[in-house]
Amino acid sequence: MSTEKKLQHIIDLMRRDDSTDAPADSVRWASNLFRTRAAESERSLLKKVAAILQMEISPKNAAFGERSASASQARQLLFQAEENAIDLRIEPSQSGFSIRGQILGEGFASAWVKLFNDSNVFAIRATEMSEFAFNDVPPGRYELSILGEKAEISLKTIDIE
Amino acid sequence: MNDEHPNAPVNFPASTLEKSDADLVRECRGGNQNAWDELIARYQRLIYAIPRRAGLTDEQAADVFQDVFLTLFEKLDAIEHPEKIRSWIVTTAKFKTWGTVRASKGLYSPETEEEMEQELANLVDKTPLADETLIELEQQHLIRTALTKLEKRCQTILSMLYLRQAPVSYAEVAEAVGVGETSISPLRSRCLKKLEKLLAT
Repeated sequence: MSTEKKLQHIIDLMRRDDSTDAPADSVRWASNLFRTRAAESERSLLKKVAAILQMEISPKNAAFGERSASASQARQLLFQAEENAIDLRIEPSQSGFSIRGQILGEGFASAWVKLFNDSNVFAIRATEMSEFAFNDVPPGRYELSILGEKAEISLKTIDIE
Repeated sequence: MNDEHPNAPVNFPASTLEKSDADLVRECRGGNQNAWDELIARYQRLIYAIPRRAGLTDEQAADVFQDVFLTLFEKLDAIEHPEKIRSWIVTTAKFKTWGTVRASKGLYSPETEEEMEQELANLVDKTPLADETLIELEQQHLIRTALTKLEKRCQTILSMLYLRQAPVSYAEVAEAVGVGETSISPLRSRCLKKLEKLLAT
């Protein structure tokens, strides 16, 4: 192809280029997705705390007087991680499960929360009230990792079913 | 490439433009947020263009976009050829787009890449995701990338003349770059040749 034709081809391609930037919020989302990984190199400096399941209340077996989960289809799991507690609510949704949670105690405002297993990774930033939510999570066994200012809390086994 | 055909596409080589992709992927593997952000900046427009060109809505295209980056995030350590990340991204965006098109029609969406390739191969109308379309999008991506490597004046001239929906006069371009109107034509030619040279290296 002659140089002239090549240049004309380039011009034609430019003239047909109707692409636009991806929405800013999607770009931000993609950027934020990586923050959990970017923080991994710093994790070795963080105190790692394994959370221990203290109580599970499901709609099927809510004991008398346990009102928290019985009003809905939500399972409630309460974990303890030293001075922090994690309240998780797992509820079936149209396309899987919705998982809502809150970290109680200090040091986890706007923490990075990652829910993952071999097949799926969901990552989100908690609110300033340390609340977080994941939607449309497929059933399976997951690990939940919460990256706070000075500690990382790990909930090793969460069965979402 | 068929040189005889007037519309035969120019196959831009995997040039110096692409050389640092592999480095970016390697840096991402090491947890470098800046490298990840640069990958996003480099490919966000190309990724978003694929579902848009296939006729998906803004919202569906945004979902495909996020899904591609989620998959890239998940498979970052498993990608065998980081230097071919652009091809990987285009293929992944194509599959995700195709899955969305099928889902929106209430059709079964193949779960594996092999199954998806088979489905695509059997398509009668490949228009929305034809290879030619994807090649053109990739070439436009390379041109946009090369354009950023030109000096500012060339970027302005070529962008104003060829990357705008509404036609722009030489007088307007001349005013934007601060030269006489008669200088625009030779400047335009020089800038185009520089762009072509960048794309050919």
